[in-house]
Amino acid sequence: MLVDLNVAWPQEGYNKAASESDITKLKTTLLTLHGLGYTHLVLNFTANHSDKFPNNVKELNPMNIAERFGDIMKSTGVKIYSRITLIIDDPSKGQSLSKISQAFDIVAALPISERGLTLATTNLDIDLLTFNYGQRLPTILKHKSICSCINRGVKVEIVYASALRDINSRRQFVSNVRSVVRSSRSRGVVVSSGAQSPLECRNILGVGSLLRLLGLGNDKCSKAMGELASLVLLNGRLRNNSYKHTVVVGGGDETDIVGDLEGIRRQLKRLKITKRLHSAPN
Amino acid sequence: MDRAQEFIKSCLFTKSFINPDKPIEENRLRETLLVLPTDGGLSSRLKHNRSKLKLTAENITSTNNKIRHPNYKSVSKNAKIAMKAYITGLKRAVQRAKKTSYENDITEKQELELYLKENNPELWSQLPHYGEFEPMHKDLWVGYIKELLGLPVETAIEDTSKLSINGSAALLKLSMAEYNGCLIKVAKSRNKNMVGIRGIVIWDSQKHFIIVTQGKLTDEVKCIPKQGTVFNFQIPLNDTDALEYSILGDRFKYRSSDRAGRKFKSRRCDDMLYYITDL
Amino acid sequence: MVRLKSRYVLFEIVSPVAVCGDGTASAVLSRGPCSARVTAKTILQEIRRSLQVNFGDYGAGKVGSLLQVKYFSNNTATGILRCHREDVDLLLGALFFMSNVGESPEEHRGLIVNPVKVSGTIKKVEQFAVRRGQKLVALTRRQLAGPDNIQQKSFTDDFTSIIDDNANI
Repeated sequence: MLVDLNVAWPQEGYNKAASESDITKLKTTLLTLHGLGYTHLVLNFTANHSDKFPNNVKELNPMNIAERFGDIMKSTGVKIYSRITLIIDDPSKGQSLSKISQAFDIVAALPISERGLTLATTNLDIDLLTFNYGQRLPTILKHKSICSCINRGVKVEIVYASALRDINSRRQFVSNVRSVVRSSRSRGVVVSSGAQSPLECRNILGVGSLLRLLGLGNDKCSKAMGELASLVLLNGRLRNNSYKHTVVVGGGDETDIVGDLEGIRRQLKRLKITKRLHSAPN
Repeated sequence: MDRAQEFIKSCLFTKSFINPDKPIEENRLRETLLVLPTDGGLSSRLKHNRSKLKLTAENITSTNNKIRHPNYKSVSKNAKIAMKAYITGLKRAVQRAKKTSYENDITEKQELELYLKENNPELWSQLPHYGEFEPMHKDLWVGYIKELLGLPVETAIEDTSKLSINGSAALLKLSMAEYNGCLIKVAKSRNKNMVGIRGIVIWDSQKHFIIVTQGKLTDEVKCIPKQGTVFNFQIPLNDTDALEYSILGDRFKYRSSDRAGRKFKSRRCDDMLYYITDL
Repeated sequence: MVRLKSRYVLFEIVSPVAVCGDGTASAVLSRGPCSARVTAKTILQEIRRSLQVNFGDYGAGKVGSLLQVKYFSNNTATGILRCHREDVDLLLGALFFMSNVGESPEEHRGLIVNPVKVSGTIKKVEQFAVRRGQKLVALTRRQLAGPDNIQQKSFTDDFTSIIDDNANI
């Protein structure tokens, strides 16, 4: 299973809805990624942490995955999830994550200041820590903060789309990735595309060799898109569908919480009704 | 007098004492509204001692709780040994029954049953019988869990789509529930051979579920380790539908008594890679 | 005697096809013939340029010492590159950053140079390319025969398995 944890959702904030043409473009991107061999895709909605979020839980997620991408999932077999990335600047203005995380499969944090980074690495209940790789990092990353974050189970994400844009952001990308790999001691690094257009997608061979060039350990390169990335999905899905990772909703024979597509739509209800198995088979 | 006491208490004593009732309890407030000096804490000490001496139901239970069983250690050890002996006894019996069936070319369960009842009733009585444990699941556990989740116990629910219980509260309750008597199935495991085993839990120990399963020839007892295993169970609603849940064994390694008051915490799930199917 | 160790890279040039307005997923990636301007020569030029831009004189010189286009076919848009064993990461990195082959900026519509398989002998790469081509042809045929949903599903499943094979090298 190959996971792309970051396909940009063409909408910033809650004020402006995504237009039809954007969505067709997004569909092309999704199909391209599928053509390159990805099996699990995650749509990424970016919002400011200090923004005003809608009160109704149903309005929190603008994506409507089942309705818009149901046909793609059915015809190609890819699985599409939703993710929210919160841009964290001033921790004092932020709000509680518990309600936001109910509506999304994965919650990620993108700190743009030093205080935001400390908040994200210590307190917030998130699955992913990501940075803006096209610009300078907010602060020098320290082993201690990043490693403690990884020990908690939060993964650090590398987004390679900015490497494909212009020469300046490429340079910045390389230096940022080097510093992330150094500070995380190449543990718990996942990589994702962050593609805004179909041309920003690359397959695992290309991305793997790029990471190897940038100094990530040899064995960690393919794990960064496979195992570790699927753990992020597992972690995020378990948050919504289980009580503190003990008892999980559903999960019969062939499905698990990540592969259970029906569960994605169910989300807010937290109940699963199935065919009853009778206790005496013979 | 009483009103005056209230007034003095709320206006004056609150400002000068930590516990404004204290001078009144110690009978230091006279009717002339004069407060006597303290007696050095003597009266309160006496009162305290007197309450200790009193023989009330509350007193007895609270003191009994403090005293542990004199030989708790040996009791728990003996219980463990007895448990182990019981399980190995059952397993031996199963082995012997299988051997008998092999020697006599018996391939059917019922044939073996008849044969054993006739020729070796002692062995037959030693074997585990799934049927004996079935009421434990059907009559006891299902009713218990339905009551716990607030589902109607006696009547079956006709229209399952209209079911209205709070999903997250149900999960919380299930994490503290009792699983002796539950019909579980191994959904995923690091040990692929265990996937698909289905049986009734007869004992929920700290690190294992001990279950009775229906075998091909005889019923068997199996100890399934919780580590690295995902269990699946259903709560029947009516004849066709059931609520489905699964237990992550890795996070469930506590005895049910310890689990009841426990505060669970989500941890990193790097050890649960086996849970993802299509890796 | 120490042999010269080299690596062979099977790559394909694909370009994403826009989805129709109603969202029906037709062909996912166009793997068909690419324009006549894409030849072995232009590809080599472009790779050298990309190496120069991204890895500088050092990278270009290092990889360029043994860089060859062993095979390229316009009809299937696949080809085989050869490079030194130590430099395969640099070469794949250069392919990663490429977005244009032999086209002028006006008609530039963007393409992805997609490495498919890396191997130590050209024989295995060829065998792999043949097998992969056969699978693709069979799938396309089946898709043309009856474009109903079940067959579409099998199309993609087989298709991912091709790429999964490569992921496990």
